Amino acid sequence: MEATYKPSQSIKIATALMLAVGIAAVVVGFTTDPSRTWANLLLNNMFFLTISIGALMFYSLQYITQSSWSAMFQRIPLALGAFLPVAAILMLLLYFGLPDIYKWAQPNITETDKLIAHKSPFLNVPFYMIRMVVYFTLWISLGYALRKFSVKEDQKADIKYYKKSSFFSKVFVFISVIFFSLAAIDWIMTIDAHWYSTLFGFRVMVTSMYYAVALIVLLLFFLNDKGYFTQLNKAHRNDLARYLFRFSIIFGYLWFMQFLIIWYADIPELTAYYYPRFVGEWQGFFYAEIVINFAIPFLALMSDEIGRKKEVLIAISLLLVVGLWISLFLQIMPGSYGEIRFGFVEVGLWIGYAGLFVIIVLESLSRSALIPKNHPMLEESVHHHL
Amino acid sequence: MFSKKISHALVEGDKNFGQISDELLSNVESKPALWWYAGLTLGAIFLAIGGWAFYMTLSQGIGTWGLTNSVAWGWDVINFVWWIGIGHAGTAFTIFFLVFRQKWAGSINRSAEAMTVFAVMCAGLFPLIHMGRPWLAFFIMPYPNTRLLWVNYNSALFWDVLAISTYLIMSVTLWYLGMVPDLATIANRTKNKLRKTIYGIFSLGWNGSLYTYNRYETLLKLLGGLAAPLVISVHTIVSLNFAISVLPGWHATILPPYFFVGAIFSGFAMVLTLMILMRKVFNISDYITPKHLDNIAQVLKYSSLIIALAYATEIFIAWYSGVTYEIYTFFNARATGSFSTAFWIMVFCNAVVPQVFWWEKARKNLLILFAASILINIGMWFERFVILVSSLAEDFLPSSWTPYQPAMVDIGIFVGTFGLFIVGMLLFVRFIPVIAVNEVKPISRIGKNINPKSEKDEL
Repeated sequence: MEATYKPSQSIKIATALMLAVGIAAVVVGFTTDPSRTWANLLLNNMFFLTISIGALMFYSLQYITQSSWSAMFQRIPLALGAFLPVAAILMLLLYFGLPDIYKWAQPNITETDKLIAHKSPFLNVPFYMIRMVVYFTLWISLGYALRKFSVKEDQKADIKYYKKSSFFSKVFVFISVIFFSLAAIDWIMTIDAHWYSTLFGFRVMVTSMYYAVALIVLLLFFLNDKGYFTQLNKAHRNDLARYLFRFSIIFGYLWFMQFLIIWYADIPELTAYYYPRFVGEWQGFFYAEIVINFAIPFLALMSDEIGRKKEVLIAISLLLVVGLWISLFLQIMPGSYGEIRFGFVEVGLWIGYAGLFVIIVLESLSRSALIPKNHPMLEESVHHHL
Repeated sequence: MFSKKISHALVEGDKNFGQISDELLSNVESKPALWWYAGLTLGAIFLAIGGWAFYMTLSQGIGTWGLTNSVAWGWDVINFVWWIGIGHAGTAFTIFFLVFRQKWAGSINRSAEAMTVFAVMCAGLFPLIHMGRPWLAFFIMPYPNTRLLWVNYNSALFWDVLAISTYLIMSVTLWYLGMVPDLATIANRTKNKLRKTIYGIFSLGWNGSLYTYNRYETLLKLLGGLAAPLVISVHTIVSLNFAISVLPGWHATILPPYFFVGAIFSGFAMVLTLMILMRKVFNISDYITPKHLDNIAQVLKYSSLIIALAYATEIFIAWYSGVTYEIYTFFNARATGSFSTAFWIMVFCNAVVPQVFWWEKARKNLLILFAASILINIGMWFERFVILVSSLAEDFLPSSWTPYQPAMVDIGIFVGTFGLFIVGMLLFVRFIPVIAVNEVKPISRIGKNINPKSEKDEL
């Protein structure tokens, strides 16, 4: 139980190569088609930010609900949150590409577009950047606090660290529920500047935990294969499968409700968003999104016997990685770049981001014990049986 | 490592199983006290008022209500949504807490489910009489008929009928199956021939064997799995009644989760009210401990925050949308105009009051708990009032704006549903154990150091 993980040399080389591919994609992208590259940068920023925020929300929820089963591997969601500072820098770089992504950021647009003129107190570049800085400052400092008290607990067994973590968990969930849903509105929904949906931010915020759990599963089994987490048993796998199963239902529910309400009321301003996606050329992605994110996980994980198999869990989690990409692609691309393009820029950028993400998360994991030493619920977690 | 004190005893006191049966069956096995008869009389008076209002509606039509051409949904639909919201808590208690392995719910779920059944009955009454000719209510059922008419499958009102009737059947089934072992216990213990026969029949030949328990638990698990989506579907579909329209203030995609959380919120508030009252009149404070009330208060606090987020989102997006009518509804009609009193009562009761539960002292104080639970239920009533009436009374065309006032008959029907609820709950506490004896026994040792030595060896 004392083990610490060190990323091996081959992983470091692999991630460095991935990063090189990403940089190549950026160079190719900006020389051929800058606005496509900017949209892809936003997509990948959102992709990994969703996982980081979702993972920290998952981590905090374990404290708020006083869950014991997950105490053993709580360092994994904590490490997934370590990407936040990098995400912040990459997100701030978007400043140079705002007019390529957002219609409202184009110069003099308020003179011709009355609706954007109405929204301009909110949709203007300075306020957009200020909000971004505020979000990241809050998330990063709270993520730092969460990590600090978890690591301090290792050095000294004292219930006060558990209580501190509990307190900061509450603050983190409070802040990120408000600001991540607002950030989703800010960064994605305003791409289609005329369209609005009250559910949009809420949906992105809630489903972020879905993808975070998928990543936790992948990382957990990766480490398990390397010989860590030997106490991982059937009951843990069962609970992870149930988490994914329930989130698949929540995803399906929120996805369908937003669609049904807009489709049924048939208000032109609102259906304009769904038109290219539901009947237009993006139709394939539209159906792929719901099949991959809802139908397949829902059916595959319905039975506990099948769902808790390691292979099934890994396959579904990998599928969800694709699902998150498609989901974001469908949310971002039609309104910003406007064409379906899938090539080296898309793939290469994702690979570059993934390399960066993996190495940062693994480095963060290696900086403390893999299993928290003095967590009060550790025994319960290790002996978790259903 | 250090010793931890995070888990709590689910049942206080060192009781054996016989004592638990004695204490929890006492309300069934002894004569009711004076308060019971007084409550029954009050319920009967309320029912009589409801009967008068019901008679007026049937004999003269819904013209006796306060409805107008503009505001065609008034108190009837408000009360319907309010009651159905309360009716969420019971099944949510049983099913969600089963799924989340929250064992403390074991001593509350029986009365929460009873509350659900009666609240859903009260709720169902409103759409029924709103039809105007309730004797033709079977027209809503889709079956091949000589009238050669089919129901309108596209209508959310029809979805409502299906969702609510399915939910009622499911709640009654779960509630009844849950008490079968307890009914058998009562039949075993009683000396009275008549009681023995009746309770015996309803206990379905329960013999308490391992096989019986095995099948029983499988059945409950399966039904529970089916009931979980039903709980969500009911209030989702109620919200769709509003959300799929084009009215400002109604057409919002956040309505389904927002209504669902609101329903859990109001249902738990009602559970809290009832639990505090029951602790007062029955000797059950060892089973519903301060920790139980604390837990309910925590749920209220967090769901209140979600509701506050929904309020804030709706207001922000109303401005962001740039639609004149949306802006008018939220910023003029609701926040500052004709409905501002109701709006601010709603915000105060639902978003502000539950925040008192951040203080542990407030969660331990019965008076504050009770007051907050009542205020939340008032606030949730006003929430439905604000959503419904403000959008209808002041919609797109100022020339068709109409103020809304409920008529005496409206109020009478609402009072009548209270009568139904009170009488139903009183009959429940008279003839059925208010706490599931068979569920409390297995959890009565949790959180206690019965035998510290052996526990240590195990770790």
